[in-house]
Amino acid sequence: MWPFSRKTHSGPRLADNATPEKGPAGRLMDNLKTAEQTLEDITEIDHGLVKDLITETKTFSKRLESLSQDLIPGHKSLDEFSGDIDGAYDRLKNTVGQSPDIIIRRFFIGHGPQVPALLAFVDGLADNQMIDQDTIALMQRYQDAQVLIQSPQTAHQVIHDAVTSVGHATVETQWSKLVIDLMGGNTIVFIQGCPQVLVLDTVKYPARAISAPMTERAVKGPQEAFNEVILTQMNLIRRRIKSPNLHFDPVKIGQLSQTLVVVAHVEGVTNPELVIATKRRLAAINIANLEYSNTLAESLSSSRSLFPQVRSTERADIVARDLALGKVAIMVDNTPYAITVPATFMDFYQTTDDYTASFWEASLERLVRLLGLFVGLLLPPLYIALSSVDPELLPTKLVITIAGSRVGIPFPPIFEVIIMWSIIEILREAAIRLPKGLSTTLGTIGAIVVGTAIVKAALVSDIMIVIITLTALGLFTSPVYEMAVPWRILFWFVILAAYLLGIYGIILSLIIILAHLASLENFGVPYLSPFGPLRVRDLKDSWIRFPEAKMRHRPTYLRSVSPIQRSVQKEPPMVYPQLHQTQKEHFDDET
Amino acid sequence: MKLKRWLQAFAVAALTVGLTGCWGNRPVNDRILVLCMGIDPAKSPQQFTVIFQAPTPSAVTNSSQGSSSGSGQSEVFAVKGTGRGLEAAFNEAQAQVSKDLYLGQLQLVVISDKMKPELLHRAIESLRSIGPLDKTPYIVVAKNSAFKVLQQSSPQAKFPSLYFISLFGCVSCQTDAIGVRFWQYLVRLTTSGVDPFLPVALPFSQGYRVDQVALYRGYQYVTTLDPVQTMNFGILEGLSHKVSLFLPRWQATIAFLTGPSRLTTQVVDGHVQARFNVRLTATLQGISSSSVTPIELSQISQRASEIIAQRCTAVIRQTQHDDVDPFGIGRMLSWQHPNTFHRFADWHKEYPKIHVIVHCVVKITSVGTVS
Repeated sequence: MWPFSRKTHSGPRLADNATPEKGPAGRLMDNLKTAEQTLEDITEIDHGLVKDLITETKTFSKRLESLSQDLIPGHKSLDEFSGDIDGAYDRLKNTVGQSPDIIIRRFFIGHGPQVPALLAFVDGLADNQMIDQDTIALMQRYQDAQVLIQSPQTAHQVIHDAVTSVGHATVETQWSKLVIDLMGGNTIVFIQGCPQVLVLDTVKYPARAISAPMTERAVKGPQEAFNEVILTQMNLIRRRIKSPNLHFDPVKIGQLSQTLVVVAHVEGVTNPELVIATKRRLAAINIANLEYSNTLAESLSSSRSLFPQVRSTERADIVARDLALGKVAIMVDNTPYAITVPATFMDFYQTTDDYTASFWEASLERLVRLLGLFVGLLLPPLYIALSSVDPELLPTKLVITIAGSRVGIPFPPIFEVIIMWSIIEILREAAIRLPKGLSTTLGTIGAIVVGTAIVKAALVSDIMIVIITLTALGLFTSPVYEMAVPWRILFWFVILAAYLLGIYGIILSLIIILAHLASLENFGVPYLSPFGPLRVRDLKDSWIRFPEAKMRHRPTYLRSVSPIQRSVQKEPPMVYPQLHQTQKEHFDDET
Repeated sequence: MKLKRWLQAFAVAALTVGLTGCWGNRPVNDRILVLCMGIDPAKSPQQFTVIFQAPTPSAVTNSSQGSSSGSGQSEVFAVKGTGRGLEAAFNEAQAQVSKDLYLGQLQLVVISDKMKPELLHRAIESLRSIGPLDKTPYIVVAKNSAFKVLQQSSPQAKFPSLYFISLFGCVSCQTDAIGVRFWQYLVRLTTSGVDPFLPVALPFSQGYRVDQVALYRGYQYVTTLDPVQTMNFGILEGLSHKVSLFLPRWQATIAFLTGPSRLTTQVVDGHVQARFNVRLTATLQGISSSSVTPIELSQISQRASEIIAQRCTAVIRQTQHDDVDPFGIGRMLSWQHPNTFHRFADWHKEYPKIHVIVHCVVKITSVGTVS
């Protein structure tokens, strides 16, 4: 039997040993039980539904009872903690406490005089060591509990200041917020008579270790990717930008999930209007459950274009770089991918390696990516156009070679493309979610068995194998995965145009795509920046990357409040250090 | 907004439907790729025969696999059609084959020198109006029969068209770069003051010999220059690349004569004068003396210049005699002295009267084999 007395409470609480008078809910439950018994007696039907109803009613009845305990005269609202830990216990037990992972524990503060207290936490989300050693043990050994009894209104302050050794502790009074804090891994401590509840930060998630990026690998760059814990994400960025101007503004999104979303920006660099716009767009999101950062992408995009308008990355260094340029980063708890806005077309073709390699190598790699894009997008359409619609544009030797390779093929070129590309897509989809060993095997089977067999079966020409291989490689040269998706879809648009109108169709479709890209704008930034509108200064970090020293300004399209990121060095320091002279002097001194 | 969307959709649909007339979707292996076309006079004086030559399917397959048939079978086949126009001949030929007779890959047009001017005019005008034909095929003349030229095979190339593409496409593969594309021929036909010339393809057992040019006055075949005349013609046109000249006095050969030729015209006392300034560079080869002095070099150069000038002048005299101006002296006159040119009602009547000077300078830039 729990020793705490309930006599001290007024209101609806009943005296000990008294037969509790049943409330309306209890009476309803009795009636239902009677009804169930009657049904069992007179019929032979399944009474599961009635039993479920009784169980639900029972739960509801308990909740009503626990709420009614907080209806103390003079108490402001049901959402405020009244200071009665019995009520708090009942309320917790009858609401969230029914779940087995919620631990609710009563204990006494103080070694001599004792003050009843209550503690609740979520098993698995909170650090047990911190709860046991830094909270309960210290409170139980507290020698000066008399102070708490004398002035219970300030008990939380005493505990906060003199007892608990948990680093981060706050105070809360509202149940609606306390429950969310509890679910987030915090430990809440109720002290008898004190209306303030201590919220101790004992959060310790079972988190995945920081691993190397899987989707954006770099040769020489940092090998750190975000994990699912937002605190770790913030730490990874903070390690890279140690300036106090780096701000992380928290936002809660999702009525059910209450997901913590953090808006990161660098004050004094990022345009404040951009930060406000981001926050407003986030505030306008009204969803029940926010599970993935990509859910926010649609709300942060201006139109439902095929092309991604926000950059999603798992690389901490890319987020840090974007923040330093004047962008805004959005991180979502439980998602290892952060979002940076605004994003331009060019952003999706820039990688970490571009900045860890020399500008020659970076420029070459970017141009290869551009070439890959053109090859991937245009090779099959060109094949269709030139082999079916406009063969007069091909050199004679090539047209004879193509005609020769197609002898005996029963399908027109467009069907060859459809067959081969369907195989590629199926293989890709099948391999992407398989274990690594299996996916390698599948790739081998796809490449060798299917590729060889399909040519031998004369379903497609051998030239088509070469074309589709180059296409598949070209379309995936985009360093950001989501940029490959629109091209894979538009590929069919260009194919159709090539089939219908030949070379003219290809040009027409490219103009349409280009016009669409030029029409896109997000957060007031044209998607084709710095090409349209042309910003010559920003071209230094486009398809050609200039040396770092030449990139003095932040991108114009970001309208940073601090446009210059690198000052000019008037004289390069110690270009020709006098090594020989110093060595000679050293030897002279010795001799 | 909705109206704008509908308009956009309508525009795209209209564009797609409206342009469907601009295409003919047929895989290349379902077409007969006509690579050569020959035009011969037919038995009927008002008709001509057109030969459409295309690679055989087995030759096409072998070509894609990088092998040849090796069985001695012909790698090309030809279908003929006869009619008063190219269209009629085409239809007749099309009726003999099961696939689309496709002229978009035409690389060579061979015309017989026996074609009457009105027939040739009709054939050329029809060729000009073929849609897929991009006006870039080479055009050559056959002595008597174009069909014979097309029948001849060469061990150097699978198809006649490939032989001529390879030959005319490589400047250093020819003595004179005398390859003429169809559009260049058309330009000469339609420009006053200049007459067309065409290379002559002579079949022989090992392939073709292309070292002569046929001269035309409009559509009228006039004459064919012999190989030596053709070399000098090439020098005057600035087309020479591997022309050589033997000098018996020094037992030396001036080889690789190449260089520009500049034509100018002037009117002196109402008379037209034309001047060719030919500046050639060459290599001295095969001289018998153990060493060549600068004086000797100068003498050799001077002698070579004189000989070339004389020969070129003789070629010009020949063309004046035939009333045909393949050098475009009239065209140059119309640019430099348009009033004088327009005074002449018929340039061909005036051309024989003009005074032509050839000034040639041969500069020996290197000495080849010196014994």
